Amino acid sequence: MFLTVVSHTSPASSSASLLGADPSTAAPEPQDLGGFDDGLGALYSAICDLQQQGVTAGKALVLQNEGLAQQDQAALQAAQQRAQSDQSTSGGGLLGSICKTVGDVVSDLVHLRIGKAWSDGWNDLGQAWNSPHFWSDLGKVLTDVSMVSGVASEVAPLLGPLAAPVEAVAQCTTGVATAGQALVHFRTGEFAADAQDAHANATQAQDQLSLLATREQQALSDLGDQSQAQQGSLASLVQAIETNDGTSLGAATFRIRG
Amino acid sequence: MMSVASTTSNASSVPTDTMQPALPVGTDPEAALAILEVVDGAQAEQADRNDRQSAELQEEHADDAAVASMHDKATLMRAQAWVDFGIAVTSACVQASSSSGDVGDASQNAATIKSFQSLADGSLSASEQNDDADVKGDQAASTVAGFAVQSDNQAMGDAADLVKAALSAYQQYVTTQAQTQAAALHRA
Repeated sequence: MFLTVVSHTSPASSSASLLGADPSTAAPEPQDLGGFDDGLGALYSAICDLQQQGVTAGKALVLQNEGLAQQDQAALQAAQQRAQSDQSTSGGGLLGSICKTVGDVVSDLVHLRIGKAWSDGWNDLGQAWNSPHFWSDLGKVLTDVSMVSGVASEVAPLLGPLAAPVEAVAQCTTGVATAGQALVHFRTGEFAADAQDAHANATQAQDQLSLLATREQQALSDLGDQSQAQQGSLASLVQAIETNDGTSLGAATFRIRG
Repeated sequence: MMSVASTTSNASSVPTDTMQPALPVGTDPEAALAILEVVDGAQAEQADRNDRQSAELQEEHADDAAVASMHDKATLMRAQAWVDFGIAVTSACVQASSSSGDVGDASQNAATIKSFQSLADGSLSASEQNDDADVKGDQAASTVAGFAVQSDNQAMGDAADLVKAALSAYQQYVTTQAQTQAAALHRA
């Protein structure tokens, strides 16, 4: 019995030291014990203390994991929001961005706020630059412009005296559209890369959440097993105390009769 | 995170050799058998716990590798965007410079740029596909490791059941023995 309890005290005293408790207060030293009854009583008290320490350790573990889970949950939500903001439907569209920029600048100019007009225009342009929806719309418009300029370039020789200027304008327009499409392609590629990064971060946060939940479940399961073992030890100890009492009583009765 | 692992490993950090008592094979063979079964069960549980920790580490590494591959793919996508932009700008410049020149030279330049663009796109797309394959491989490895963790959990439960069964059998044996001795004494 003593061997069993000693083997149980080792991990629990480690848990106690982990939680900052003083393990030396859990049970009295063996040399301080009087008789066999005192020893059994001390063992009972030590096992009860161990059970209490297990409950405390479980509570601390759950609290600690709750904090970590909240951090991971926040990281997951941030990554998901970032991935959402990199979708092609996120942000202001082409027409909306142009209207907003023009409206802000004109409003500031009408009210003679030159500096604010500059800063507002710059901010609106920055928002449009970082808006996937804007670049998606711009890409569609530039594709249409490129097609129209191509048709104009083909039709230009049929226009007689207007052929040369129409051809020149069509070629210039095609060049601008091509350059714009290259920029659109670059920006949409960057948005896609950002979305992929955000997706990776979300996956990482999800993995950490799953890992945390698994480890918490295992730790609580271990603590439950430990508690069950201590319950069994307590039951055996109670039986031993009763047997000891019965034996002592029997011996005393025998002596009295003798 | 670390404290969780340290809490779970506390119970397993006690070396089993130091707890192993001498076997009373001659005097009490049932006790010796129970001790053997308990020691065997404890060692099996310890081994399963180590296996589980190892499988958890493998799962964690596989998950990290999958995330790293995803980031690699994002880097490649960004590089592809830059390369495409550079090629498009170069193509526009070459077209503008050769618009007034020879038509043969212009078409040759366009073909050269087109082939270079195809080469760069193909290379980067292949690398991205490689990263996708790495992600899937790592996710599969993570799933396998997760199954191994579950299996080790089951094995740990079986080992604990063995210990409980051994102790229960020995307790029953002792009780029966005591009852038999009491009955014999009563008869005597």
